[in-house]
Amino acid sequence: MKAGEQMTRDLASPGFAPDFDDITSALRAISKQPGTLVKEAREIHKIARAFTEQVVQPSAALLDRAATDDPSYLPWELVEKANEWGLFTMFIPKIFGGKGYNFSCIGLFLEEIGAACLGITTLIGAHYLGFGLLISSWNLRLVNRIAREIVEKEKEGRLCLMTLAMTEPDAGTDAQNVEFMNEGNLACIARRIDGGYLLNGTKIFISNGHLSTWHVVHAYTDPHRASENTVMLLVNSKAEGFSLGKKENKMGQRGCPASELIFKDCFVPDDLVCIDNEQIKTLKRNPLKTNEQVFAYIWGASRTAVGVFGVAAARGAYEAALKFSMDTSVDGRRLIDQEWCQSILSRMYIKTAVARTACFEAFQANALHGLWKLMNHKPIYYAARYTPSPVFKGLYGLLNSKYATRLIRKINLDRQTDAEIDRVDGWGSLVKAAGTDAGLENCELALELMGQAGVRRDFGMEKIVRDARLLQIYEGTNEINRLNVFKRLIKRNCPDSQVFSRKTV
Amino acid sequence: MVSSDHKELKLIDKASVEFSRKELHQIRERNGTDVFCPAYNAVVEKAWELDYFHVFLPDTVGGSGPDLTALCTILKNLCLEDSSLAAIILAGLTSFEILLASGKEDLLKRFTMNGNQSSDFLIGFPLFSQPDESGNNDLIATLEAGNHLLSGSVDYLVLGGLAKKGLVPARLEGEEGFVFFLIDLTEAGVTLGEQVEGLGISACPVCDVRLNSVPALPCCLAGEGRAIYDRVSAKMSLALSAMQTGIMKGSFRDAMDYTGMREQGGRKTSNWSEIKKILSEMAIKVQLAELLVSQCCISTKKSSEHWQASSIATSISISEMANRVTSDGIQVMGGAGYMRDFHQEKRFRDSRHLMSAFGMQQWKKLNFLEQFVPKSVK
Repeated sequence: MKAGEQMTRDLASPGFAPDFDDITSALRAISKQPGTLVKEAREIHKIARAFTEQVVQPSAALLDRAATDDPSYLPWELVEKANEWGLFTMFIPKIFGGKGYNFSCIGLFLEEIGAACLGITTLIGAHYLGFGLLISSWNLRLVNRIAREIVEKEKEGRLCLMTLAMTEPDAGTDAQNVEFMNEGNLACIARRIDGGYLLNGTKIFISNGHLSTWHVVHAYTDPHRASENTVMLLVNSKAEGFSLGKKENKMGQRGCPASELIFKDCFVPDDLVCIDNEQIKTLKRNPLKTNEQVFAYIWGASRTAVGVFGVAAARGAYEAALKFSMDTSVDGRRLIDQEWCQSILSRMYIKTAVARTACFEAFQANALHGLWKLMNHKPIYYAARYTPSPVFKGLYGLLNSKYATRLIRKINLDRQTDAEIDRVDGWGSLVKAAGTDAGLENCELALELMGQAGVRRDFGMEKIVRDARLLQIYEGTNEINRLNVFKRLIKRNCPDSQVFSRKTV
Repeated sequence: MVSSDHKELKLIDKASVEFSRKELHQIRERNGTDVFCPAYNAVVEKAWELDYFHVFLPDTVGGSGPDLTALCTILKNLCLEDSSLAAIILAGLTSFEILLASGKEDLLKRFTMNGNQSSDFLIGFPLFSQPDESGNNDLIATLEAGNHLLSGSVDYLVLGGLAKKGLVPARLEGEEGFVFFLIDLTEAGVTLGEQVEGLGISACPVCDVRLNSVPALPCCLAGEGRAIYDRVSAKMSLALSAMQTGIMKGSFRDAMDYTGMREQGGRKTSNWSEIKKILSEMAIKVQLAELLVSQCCISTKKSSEHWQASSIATSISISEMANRVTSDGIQVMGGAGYMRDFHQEKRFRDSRHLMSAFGMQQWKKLNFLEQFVPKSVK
């Protein structure tokens, strides 16, 4: 056999083909989809559009301006307005007192707001990131308690926001990947003492830190073996030993504060421990694998949401370029009437649409196997949607029992297969990188097209560029996410390969 | 530029690096907001005293010789730290060059030899638009009793609010093309808008201007404006390329420093091959940009046949390289790269802002074939 023939046969190897289930989440979700989901999606879209028109568009540039003039500025007015609109309880399941809109439709909501202001969509999204992380611990008692507090306060016109606190001054990527944790510089230490944990350390770049009531904090009981000694703790902003440090001076997304959280001998009682090794010892996976699985749950959902932020940036840039092309003439003709310009606008439209479609696939992967799998299960979906709220009150006792948490963990953690973890986490990373790259690519195209109109602040495009640049960094840099795609979706075709390893350096 | 062994050029190189580090690095630290920084006036005047505005001018107008390589060296080095001063110099020199190309040496001398403070010697110019791009410039010149009067608007006049004079393109009523006019920005019919804030070069003042029957001095004949602009913008595009090269170099330098200190997974991030790859790509682009600018300087000095085409092609390509490098410069630094404290984000903004100097990037690309290729093919 000639060398060329051998090569042809190898390239056609069926072993490299993607797994059917990995590329058909949306297709497989069709039959499992509750029939009223589309109606619900329309409602969500309508609310988001109304909020955007009435609140976001008039305040986006003002927020950016205010935070530029005064780096310590906090957008209380905007947050209170969002609270009045009920946006912080929209996606909290009805069983916990929320409005119960389905999480798999949150992309429509975030895109609509994000196309007008990425800072505001991050601000709202970060609250659900904190809530989502709490859910990924599957601690029903705490989910029930915190969700109800958010709902009750909203009814009283008070705020109760959440954050996810993971990044540390010397550990960004190290805090996000179990492969790096043991050799990284993690320094947020949780020491076991009677009745709880004593927390010491600092978290940085925490979205909404200065605005939030509850912080879901990742800490480590043994920093040298952090990957299997991670604890997730809930810290109230009024807790003794907790303080807020500086508010970061960011290039963009200035409407959403990024904060430093400081923990100094901060006592976290046992009833605020979301998950630790003691709680997971009856699960089938070991602490390292369970830790990795919990990360996969939240990353699968949150990175998909950031992919949507990218779609929003791509759309915002496209819409700005379209308007400019309609209003501007060069060489005696409107740009919109010139073929080369039409081609650029089409490229921008295509990038937006392709990224949006990819995000939809990732949302369906989450709906089938990820964070909102249970809520998308038809009997649970309909029960949650149509059961009168007072009936749920009768379930309080059940939700607060340790048996309910144990059961829900068995269902969600033990029954989730390794392939499902790979799919959810892999697609989260895939759309995070694809969506946010599309967002910035459209921004670059818009700037090239718009000339001085693109760079002056009063036209709005330059804000989209500044805002969009953050998307390729947070929720794991796109470099890390691309490697995670290799780990979750490619590596199985070359099982002897290494990823996230010193050997690949 | 980089390989020159010219003694004087080496001194200029060293002195401008030092100036950039001492003067601009400090003011960059203080100028934490996007608001126009009046403290910059002092820096502009220091630059004037050091002849940074004169190196490109002939000695007949008080310059030290039209040394394009020296100018590019200075602008590149200034942009290692901060691009606003270089943008001010670029706008000022573009006005000077247009006056020179229009045969107005005597007029130019009034600025270059007599100015005591920045507002005296600087001439504002709409650097970020093509003169015939509608929507940005709808100035009409009418002739009344032998005097030209300008009415209409000039969007985005660079140095507006700082300079007392402006050089603007306007159409003569009833005629095609445009003519450059010198106007006094302190005249009664001139309305200066507020400072326009932008994506980058935040300390370079810019404002929109409205004119109502403002007396204006024509600097060229009707029909000459386009040819003068094309020639001057080609030459100054090379200066712009040097600025973008400096921005890239600064971004690469800070990225190397940071990744050499920061650890991930127990190793310096610069040791991870993915980061190494990005840093290498940044280094390749910086190297290439320096080479292109050097070659173009030689070609322009010699007035080689295709110098204008080379300069424009270099400027378009280097701007795109700078956009990529400054984005990568943020990326390898992660969250820190996005924070204002580290100044990488400023380079990201500055490079994109400067890309639009002399008009829309896409329009420059589209025009290149028509403007230059037939000449090259011939």
